[in-house]
Amino acid sequence: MKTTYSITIGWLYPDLMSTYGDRGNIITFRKRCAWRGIQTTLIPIDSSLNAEKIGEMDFIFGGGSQDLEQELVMRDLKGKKSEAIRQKIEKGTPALFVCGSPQLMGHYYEPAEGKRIEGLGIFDITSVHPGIDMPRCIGNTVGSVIWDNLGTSEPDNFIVGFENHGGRTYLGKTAKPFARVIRGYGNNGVDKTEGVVYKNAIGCYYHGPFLPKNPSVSDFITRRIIEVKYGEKIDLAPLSDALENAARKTLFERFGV
Amino acid sequence: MRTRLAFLSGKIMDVFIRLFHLGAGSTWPGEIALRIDAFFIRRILSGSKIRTIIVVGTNGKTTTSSMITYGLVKAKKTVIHNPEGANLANGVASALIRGATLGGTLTSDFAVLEVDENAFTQVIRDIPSPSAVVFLNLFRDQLDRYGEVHAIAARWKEALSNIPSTTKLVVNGDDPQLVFLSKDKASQTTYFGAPQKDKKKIQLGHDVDSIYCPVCGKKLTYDLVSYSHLGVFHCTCGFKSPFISTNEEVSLPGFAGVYNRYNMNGALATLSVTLRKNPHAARELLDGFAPAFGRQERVNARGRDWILLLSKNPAGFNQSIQAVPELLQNKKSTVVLILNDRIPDGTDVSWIWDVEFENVSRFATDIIATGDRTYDMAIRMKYCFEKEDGERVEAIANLEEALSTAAKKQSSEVPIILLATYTGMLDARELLVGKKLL
Repeated sequence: MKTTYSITIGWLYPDLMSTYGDRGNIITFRKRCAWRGIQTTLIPIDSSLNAEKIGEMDFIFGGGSQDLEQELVMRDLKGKKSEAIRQKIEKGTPALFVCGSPQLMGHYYEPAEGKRIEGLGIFDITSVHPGIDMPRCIGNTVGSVIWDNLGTSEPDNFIVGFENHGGRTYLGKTAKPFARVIRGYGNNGVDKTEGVVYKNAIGCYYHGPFLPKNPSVSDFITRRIIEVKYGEKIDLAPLSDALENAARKTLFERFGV
Repeated sequence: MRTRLAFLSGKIMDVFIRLFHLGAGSTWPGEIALRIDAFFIRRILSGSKIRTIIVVGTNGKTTTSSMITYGLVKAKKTVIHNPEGANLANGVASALIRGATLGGTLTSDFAVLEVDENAFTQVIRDIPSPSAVVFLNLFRDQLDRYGEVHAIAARWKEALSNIPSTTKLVVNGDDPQLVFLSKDKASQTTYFGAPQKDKKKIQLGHDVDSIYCPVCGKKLTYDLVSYSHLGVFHCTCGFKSPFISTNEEVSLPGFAGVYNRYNMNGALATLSVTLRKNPHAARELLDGFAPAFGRQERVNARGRDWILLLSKNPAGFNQSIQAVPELLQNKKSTVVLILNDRIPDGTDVSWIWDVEFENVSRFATDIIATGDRTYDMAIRMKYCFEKEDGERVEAIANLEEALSTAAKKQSSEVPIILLATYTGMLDARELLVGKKLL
């Protein structure tokens, strides 16, 4: 008899950090699990949550926020909740932070106006907004994951999405990038790195619905979660990703990749 | 002298464009005038008694300003109105040039101007004492171009700081950001909202933007919600919904949805303050009003009836989807979804994940996804279903093929529902009725 797997997802501040379709990641991840008989439970990590609950989580997700909301988030996150999240990541709990949330998981973020915001220090990165008059990094983006092999063939290793960020992120000495930029700006528009990884936590500037068009990343995270939680490797039943493959193919052609 | 030259250049351009049918919504005459004289708008208005009404907001600008124009014309006023899409400073200037006599005089009673949310700050500098400003709503829309909602609200508030006390502000009192915007201007503000029956005790959706108190930053308590972040709200700091004077009976034939009842109440409030009429008398001015292009517009093509619903952002799309059962009289039909990512649509299509497309399955017999981002749209629909079959979602990248497939599938008398982003609507309309604009 096979084990019935179940995954508890912690979603950072769904009300405050869901700027532009971020929940697409949650919808995609949960449906892909459900279609393989893996149960999922969703717990919002917000002001009403007791920090101890974070200990029960198998996967942590964070999306983007506007500046005002970012401040509210950090006010609530400081202290017990930050500590609980840091411990989870240290123990190898998989996490995905997209859009603005990796900035909060780094050492600090310097906005265009106002004070420096101290981050959780999970990723060895710093982020700086170069000034209100500097152009934002906006547009479609394609990358190649260099952290780990997500799929079996090269195109499966490609990620595609949209970025829209004012801040520029710089990797510290110990930080490993998540991907290499093929089209777009990436972390800072200069060094061709995209995102950052630490243990099983991924941070990247791809915003909003990152997983829907990158199902291999979604499945990769699912496998890692099962490995960490149950200590066993799992082969996920294949799903028909015909639409996803067509979407990726069309976009790669359009961007000349 | 400079202004005269600016005007004449623009006027000649306008006559030329009209003579050769080069496009009704052209912004070139205004663009040329503004290049010659940056203060052109201010100067042409200063010598005239024309009263300006500015309509601004994320959604509903075209419908509301068309309604105001319609009402004013019915009240025997002469009106200049900028066509849809020509809502930046150059579009405003073009409308004024077109409406002026050859001598450069504006003789009309009113100019009703819909203004892009990002151009508002500039336009209000050029039109420093409008007769009325109508604030409809503020939703997230095309963050790739406009930046965040709070930043826009802050700019609007600043722009309002110099507004004279004679300008009437007509404000959606169900939108917390807009109430905050007009907080210190209570004596010149009229608040409108949705009818009571549209406000319910429901959970906020995923398309919300402004649910935090703009005064103190705490989460607002919503007693009632109409849609998105619009409703009856209060905060522990004392910030709360204002008194709203709203028409309860706002309906027109073939005109569905809460968002249209907001548009209509906004138009009625504006007509009532500018014409000094009571709301009931203002209501009669709107009899016979027909929807603007792509706004629940009905066309007959290829032997089928189609209802075209233009939507540009999550709040707009949700509202269109919610209006469909009302439009179809609870029958089911084929649904065509057109998602484009050109500049007028917004180049980022992430927002489709904030739309409750799950609700489409309730009235769709078949779903066809098409447009520049056919597969993004199809993937979104695939994840609306419990099972991984996606059988009811067809991805057809070619728009013509998508439309002919829809016409083939739909055999009944029930109209086909077509939901599209801006350029998708233009393209589909051209294919269906053979011309881009009315």
